[in-house]
Amino acid sequence: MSMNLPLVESKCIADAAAGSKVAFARLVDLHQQAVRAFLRRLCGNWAEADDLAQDVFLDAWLKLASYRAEHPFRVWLCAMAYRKFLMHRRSFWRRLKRETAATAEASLLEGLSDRNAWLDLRRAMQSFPNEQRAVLALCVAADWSHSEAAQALGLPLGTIKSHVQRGRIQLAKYLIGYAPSESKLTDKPVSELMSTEDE
Amino acid sequence: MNSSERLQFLWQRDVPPPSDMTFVLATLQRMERRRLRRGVLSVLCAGLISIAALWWSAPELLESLEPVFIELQSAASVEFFVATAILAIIVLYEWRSFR
Repeated sequence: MSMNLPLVESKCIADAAAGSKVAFARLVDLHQQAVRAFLRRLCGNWAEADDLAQDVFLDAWLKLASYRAEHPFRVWLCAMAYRKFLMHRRSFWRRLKRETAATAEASLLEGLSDRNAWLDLRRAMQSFPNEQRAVLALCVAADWSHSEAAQALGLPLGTIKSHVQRGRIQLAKYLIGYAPSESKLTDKPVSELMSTEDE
Repeated sequence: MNSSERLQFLWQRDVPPPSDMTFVLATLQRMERRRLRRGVLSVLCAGLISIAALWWSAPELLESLEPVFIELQSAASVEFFVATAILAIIVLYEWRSFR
């Protein structure tokens, strides 16, 4: 009989806080999907996002003792991921590395069906301010509740709701009447599309 | 497919598999590397602080050790000690990574 997931999680948190690497590995495995997907949508670059996600888990390992169960663990992790993302964006050298990685990643996408639509979505996401992008990545893409997103991002509930409402409308503009396998926004090469834009 | 469904479909591309042992192992290895780096740095810092404290409080003790260092250098032992230290660090790292 499989154990209840929250029970498994809380046991893993307690064990990992006591120093168990096996429990920590289980925690990483349980939450890597949510954290990586969130960061991939924020960064617009998988290599950079996965690198950041590893950093988030390493910080989590060090700060596990300070975790309080009043918020779900994934909310705590995504809050850390968002702070790390904001700090990461400020660094010039990392930005240079990110742009190099984006060019490398672009070559992997050649031949993917619906590639242009996906790249347009990423491009649209990158055009939003960091805060709104984070809200869309959590509430629209990952179906988080508004209150969970408010906890993770440290924003008022009203701000979350207005970001979601405006973001949905803006994103829909990119997709209405979209012809599959054809970029509606631009005819620029993929490598150029992949490079992220900073505000 | 309406725009909302299309959006969800496209966003699914960003979602990694529910279980990814490659990522987990890479994270654990990175954790070990970071711990080892911190360990080596703290040992080096402790060594430097000890030498500085010794030099400040009892310079004659360091002076008395000088012939030993000269002896070690002349016997080409310095290279041997450095190589041993590097090897010990590598072994320690590998042992911690795959424990």
